[in-house]
Amino acid sequence: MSEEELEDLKDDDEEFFSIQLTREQYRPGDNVEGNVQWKFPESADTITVRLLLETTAKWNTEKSYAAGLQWKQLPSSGICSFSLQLPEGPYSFIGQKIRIDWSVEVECSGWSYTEEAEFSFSPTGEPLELKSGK
Amino acid sequence: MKFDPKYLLVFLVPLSFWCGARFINEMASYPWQKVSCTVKSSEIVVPDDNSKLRNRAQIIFSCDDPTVGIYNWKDFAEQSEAQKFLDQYKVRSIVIGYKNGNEIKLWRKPIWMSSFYLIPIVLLIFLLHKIVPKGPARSVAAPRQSQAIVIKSPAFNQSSAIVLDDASQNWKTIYGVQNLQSISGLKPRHAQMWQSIGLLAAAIIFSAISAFAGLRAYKTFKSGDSPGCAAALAPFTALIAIGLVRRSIQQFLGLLNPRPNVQSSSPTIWPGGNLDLSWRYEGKIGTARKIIFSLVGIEKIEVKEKSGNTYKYSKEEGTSAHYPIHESSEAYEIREGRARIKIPENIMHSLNFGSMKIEWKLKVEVQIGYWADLHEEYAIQIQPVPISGRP
Repeated sequence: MSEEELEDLKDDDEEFFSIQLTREQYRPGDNVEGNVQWKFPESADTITVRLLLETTAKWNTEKSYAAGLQWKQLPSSGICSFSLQLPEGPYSFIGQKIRIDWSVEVECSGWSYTEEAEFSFSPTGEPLELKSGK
Repeated sequence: MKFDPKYLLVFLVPLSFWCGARFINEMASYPWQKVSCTVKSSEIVVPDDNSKLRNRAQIIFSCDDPTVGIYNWKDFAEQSEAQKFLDQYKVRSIVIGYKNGNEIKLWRKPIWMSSFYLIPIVLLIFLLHKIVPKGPARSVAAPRQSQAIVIKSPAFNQSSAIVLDDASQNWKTIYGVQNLQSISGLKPRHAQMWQSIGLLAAAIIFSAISAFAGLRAYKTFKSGDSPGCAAALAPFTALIAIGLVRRSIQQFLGLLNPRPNVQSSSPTIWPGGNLDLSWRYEGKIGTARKIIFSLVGIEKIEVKEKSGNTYKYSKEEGTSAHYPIHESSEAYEIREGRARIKIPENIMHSLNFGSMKIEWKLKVEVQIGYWADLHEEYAIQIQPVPISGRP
């Protein structure tokens, strides 16, 4: 990192923590790619990225963890890029009783920041539904 | 042509409103204050108004409360009926009257009869529950993304990260990828027989309601009253009974059809993949016109609810989907054939995850002329597209 880039970061006092995905739709075999960006007054300590599956049956929601990465001893600002392999399934689904959502959650344990980015995963890229076809 | 149950709403909605109003009216009479009355005279007179019924049972009485009326009557077609009615109100007998403002009524309908007004309302609720689509548990939101911020900062790639333990779930078990595809019959004959008996029982119940409502309408009409809800209900329940009898007979006849022997040579199937099927019928299938293969998917959940100190488990079904995947009208292909069937790409795979299930069935339908159609269902597993070894 150049001196000039570090100076730019120091000039901006605003604290932030964010996640960005390269796409909003993924197909089987794809990797979920994106990056986490942060800026804190002091070192970030540990940042964890988790690939999460959220299942809802009527009113009960459960989150399951599918894959994850962790960076430790990070400076007060930076960008972490990630690429997480999606499992074969289950696909994103919107039903009358069942709902399945995928997301990537990032957490900075030292500063108690958590951010989430949702995406859809299926052979068409869109969340699937049980709809009669012709 | 299939009858769409939505059309029943045209009839059921106004009927339910009318019956609901009558039910409220009937219920409103139950808190009326009971007063003791003495019959002064009870006799049959000829009405001096335009009543078509020429036998009026007229009762004059006095009650504890002097502010109320003292005269009730009811018209009958036959004199014997009027006399039978008056036998309950002999002169000098003490009877119970129901006070409503300044009016006393010596009779009112039994409370159980008011429950007939609820039948169209119950049917309407059942129909609405079946046909009104329900939205998902949450609104369909576009994937959310944190606001992009462009910064100049130190970059870290994945090689500097610790890969966390493998997933907390054994993903393969939740969509049954460990089981190889097997085609197994879902609807054995005895299940179909019970279905037929169930339909017949329902038909008998609806026939009884229809007969009772018809009789009631006839009696009220004969006694000069409006036949009302009973008259509207009788043909409606009769139609339902006829439909149920027809379905029941079809089910019985369907038991006589031969069972198909369906085989699959596809060990696994997935959205966008192929299903290789072969089938053969042993026995006569008469004047078979068409064979149709469909995929039928349904979502199911098991709900756990606290009831007092215990938990109650109930099963609920959500939306179902029906995809016709192959059909043939050739006689030789109906009896015996094979087909490579393309599974649609946009269908959800099978799921068995905690209380949630998405089940798929292969449905075979043979349309037979002048006979009950043949229906057979087979449980199948649709798995997610394999990441490695894709065709």
